[in-house]
Amino acid sequence: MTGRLTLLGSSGVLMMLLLTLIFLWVPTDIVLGISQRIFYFHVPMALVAFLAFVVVVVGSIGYLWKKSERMDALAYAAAEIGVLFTTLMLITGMLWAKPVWGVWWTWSPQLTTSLILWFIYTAYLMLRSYAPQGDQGARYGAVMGIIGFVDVPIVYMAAKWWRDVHPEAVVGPLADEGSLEGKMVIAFLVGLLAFTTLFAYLLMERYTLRRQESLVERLRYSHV
Amino acid sequence: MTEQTDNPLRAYSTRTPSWWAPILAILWKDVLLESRTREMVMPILVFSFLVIVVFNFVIDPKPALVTAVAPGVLWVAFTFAGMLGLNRTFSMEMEHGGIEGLMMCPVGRDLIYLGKMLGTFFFILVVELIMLPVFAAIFNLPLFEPGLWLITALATFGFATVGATFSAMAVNTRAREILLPILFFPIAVPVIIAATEATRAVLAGDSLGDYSRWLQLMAGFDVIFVVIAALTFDFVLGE
Amino acid sequence: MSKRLAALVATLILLTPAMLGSSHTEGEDYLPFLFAVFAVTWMAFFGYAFFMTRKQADLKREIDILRQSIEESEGT
Repeated sequence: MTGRLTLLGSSGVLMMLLLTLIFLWVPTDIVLGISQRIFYFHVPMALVAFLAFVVVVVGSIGYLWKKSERMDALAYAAAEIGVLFTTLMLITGMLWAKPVWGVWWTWSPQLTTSLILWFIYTAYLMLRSYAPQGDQGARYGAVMGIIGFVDVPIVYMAAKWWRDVHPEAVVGPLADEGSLEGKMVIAFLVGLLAFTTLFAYLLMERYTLRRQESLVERLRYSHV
Repeated sequence: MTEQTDNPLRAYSTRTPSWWAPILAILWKDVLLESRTREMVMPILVFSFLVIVVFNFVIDPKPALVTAVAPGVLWVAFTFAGMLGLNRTFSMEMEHGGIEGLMMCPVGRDLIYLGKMLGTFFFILVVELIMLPVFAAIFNLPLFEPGLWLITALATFGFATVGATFSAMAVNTRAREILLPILFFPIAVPVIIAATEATRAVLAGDSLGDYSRWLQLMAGFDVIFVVIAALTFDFVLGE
Repeated sequence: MSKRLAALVATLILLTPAMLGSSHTEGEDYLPFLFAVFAVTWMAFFGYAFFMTRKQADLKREIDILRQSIEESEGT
């Protein structure tokens, strides 16, 4: 328990540090202006979302291999938090795209893949809630977790080639990410660390809750 | 997985001449069933015809517009048709305990998967091969290209690989009719993109070399997912 | 408590479009977008924590019911 509190505390401190860095310390990007500061939230969340889906596939394979309920609870918890982070990644991405490109959305390979990623893992969560509880649902989830993960690079490739055929419509000032200054890199790393610790904390909490849920579920059926 | 001689129930599989015999047996069972009940090909055929007709009204494809929208219309119709076929793949096994019969078959689960998957592939492909000339006539397009048949076959096989697995899952869930498309579409997105773009290239008169990467993408998808789905099907069916 | 929390979050969410609508996307006037990013992110994490707390409360209630019924069945 103290480990968790440490995790939550350090995540909170890192978030404060990140906000301080974003508002008071990092230089303003010459081309993108203030809006570039969204980057320190958006990109770390994107990376953490992807980390979450790696955890899902590890938990899925682990469940099928070892039949361990812990692995399944881990996969489920990671999928739920991954969807949360992907949702935030998409929303913050749109809020970044609007001032920079003048549009809320564009079908770039990254954006398309992120959206499909969101659909795949939302489908995973729906499958879990509609499938029978216990082993059967866990097996279905694990198979979906594996298939979904393998699908992601194929989606990215298809979206990339599709972009070649359908060149991007003219959008505002082209946001070439370009090189980051030293201070920007530091702020980005602080952001990455802050969101990773937050992810680890949420994952542990959700994992425990999920374990308790299935335990109570089983107790109810064995007792009634 | 197929050769478990220690189990007397599985002795049958050691006597069968080859691994493909059970696959063909399951495939033949589905073809026979279809020839008697006619619950799959005809309804899907009519449905995909309807989709194309409805599209004709909502987008009014004038000759100048036809080559731009036709690939999309064709693949929306085929994807929806495939969707309906996938719904039937395992829901027909739920009637009269068909699934229990399949699960008691003394053969590996991967072979059961391959049999069901090939059956789905076959039925959807039949519908599509009938629809292609109809489509060509309605939209006034030259669709008698061998390239198009190859695209259709590769894409439909891709649909069947992941679709058969999702169909087997969805029949055991609540809200199964709505859950299957939600599972299936995001995973099938690369195939839908590839098939549409390759069709566009064929209609534009491009040579095979210009769109071969889309064919490779679909072939890659087919191979990857037929292997993954066959290996994991044991977990989908359960005990 | 939870109702007040929900009302607060709902108000914030309703305010977001107003905040966005008032923005001019010229020059350095990008600040509303930056604020929207923080607002959305914090609300989401806040909401998720709230969701987990509610789940925990449901679970606790269920455990209490189970314990009660076990005690009753042992009593008879």
